[in-house]
Amino acid sequence: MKSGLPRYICGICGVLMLLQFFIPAKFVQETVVEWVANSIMIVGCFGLAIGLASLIHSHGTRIRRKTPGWGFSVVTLATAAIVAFVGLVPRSVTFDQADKGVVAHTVTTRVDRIEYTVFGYQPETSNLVASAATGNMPVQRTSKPLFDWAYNYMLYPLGGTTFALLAFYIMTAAYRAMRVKSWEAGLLLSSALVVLLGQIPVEEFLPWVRIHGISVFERLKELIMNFPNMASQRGILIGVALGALATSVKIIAGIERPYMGGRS
Amino acid sequence: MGNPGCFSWAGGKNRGKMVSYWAASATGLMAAGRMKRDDPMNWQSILTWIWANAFDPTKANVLVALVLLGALILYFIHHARRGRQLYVRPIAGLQSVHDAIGRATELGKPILYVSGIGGEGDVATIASMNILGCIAEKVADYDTELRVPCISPIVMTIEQELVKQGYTRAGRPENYREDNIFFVSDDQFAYATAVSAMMIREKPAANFFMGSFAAESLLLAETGSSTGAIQIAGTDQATQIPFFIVACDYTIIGEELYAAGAYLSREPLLLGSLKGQDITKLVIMVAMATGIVLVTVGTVCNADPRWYNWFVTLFAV
Repeated sequence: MKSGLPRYICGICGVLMLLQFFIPAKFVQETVVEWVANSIMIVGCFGLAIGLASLIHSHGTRIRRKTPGWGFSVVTLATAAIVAFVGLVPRSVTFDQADKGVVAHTVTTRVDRIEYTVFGYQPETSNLVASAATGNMPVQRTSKPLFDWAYNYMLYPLGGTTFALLAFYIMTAAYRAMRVKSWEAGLLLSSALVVLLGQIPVEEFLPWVRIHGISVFERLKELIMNFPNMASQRGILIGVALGALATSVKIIAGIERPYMGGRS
Repeated sequence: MGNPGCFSWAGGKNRGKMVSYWAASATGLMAAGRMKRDDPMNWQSILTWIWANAFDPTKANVLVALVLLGALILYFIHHARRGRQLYVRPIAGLQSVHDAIGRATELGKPILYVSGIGGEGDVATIASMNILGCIAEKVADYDTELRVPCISPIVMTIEQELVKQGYTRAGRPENYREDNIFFVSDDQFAYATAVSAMMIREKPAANFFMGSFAAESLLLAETGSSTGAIQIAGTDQATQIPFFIVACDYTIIGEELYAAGAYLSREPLLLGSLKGQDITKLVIMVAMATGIVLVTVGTVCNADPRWYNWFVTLFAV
């Protein structure tokens, strides 16, 4: 029973979700799908609690044992506590987009877009409000000014900075990949050079590479991208789809049970 | 048969008799009552209702393909269960998993396992979990430290259980340390930064990147490469595969990720499903070749498009 029940629940849920793809009834397409989405959110909430507990436990242990770099753990826990507190702060501002031509269902009082709060001047910068102002999306949004500030001016730029590092990593990776050590590497290098030259307007500087008004490199680039590249990508995609199907069948049939920590 | 779409039993021995009927669709809605068996209107309306609500006929080809492919996979699983030996081609990336674990053991350094940024519902993450289970078993055998930073608390919980089971299967449950499988952050770049920092601080001897990855793939793989660790990566994201190929020692490409669990564990049931996958790939290849030949010949011979389009529309979604 202990191992059987989760297996049956998983199998039944899997089959039901599979069937809903084929059933056009409104009840299934709206109610059932919404119910599943809500269930996932509820499970996610429990997951958040587990994650928080794990975070506190792992960093707490590092601080207690004074392992090298334990100061970073203090910063992590302090930041988590501050952001959680700010997110739960009751002072909030409700925005009404009625003056922007957007209908708000439940908002009765209209306030300015810019607020002076206990944390100071807070311009509204979220994408949600920006998109609502230009479209017809009904919106009722409760803003947490400092929380938004922390997200927009701290987390967002930090993420952007990390993402920007990717450019340098691509350079070093490309350098390593294009060192000609074998004929395969040579083939890769020549293909890459052709694609690079096809991406830039090389015919502006070298008019002789132009054939019928289009750069020969651009034609070669299209040839490489549309045929060998596309063919191999589609081959991978077909394999991935089949692998996903086989994995799903095994999970629904209870042959593979990662959710219970192993196999049958 | 009577009118098109109706279900009249003309000529049957019960013709004209009052019978009970019921019809239920998968939506849970049901129709029931009593009527004459050869009354075409009643049957027609019921069937029309079921047809309209219970099944989308435009997806019939998907259903047929799904049933056929699923049946093939289950057939080979059944075969494997009966003890038939199945050959699986060598996959370099998976063969080197044992070498990577051995190297980490010799150096006395930890092994880092990253299961990507996918959630618990992502098939690549599930495949990654299967690999983690096999690696945990091997790691427990060698008594090496296995570190698993997670981006999702739910994935973390499942992976804790998987690693624990791996240690138990290896007969070393006392060596399992729950602290080694931990939640880092659910933000993609915060996670990538934290894992990169871990690699630089702890200098693991072997890094495994298996699962669903996005822009952080190269950040992680390049950092790992700079620390001198042996790196094995696998993802089903076609756009990230080139990054892993460049920065890692071995790369498991696309579907090989799904095969990895079976390959490492050598369990007959899982190997059977691999064989089923291969046969379905053969079926797809034959279908593609047939389509190419039909369309090419039809176009070259200037034939009526209906002559070959029927085959193409079989696969239209």
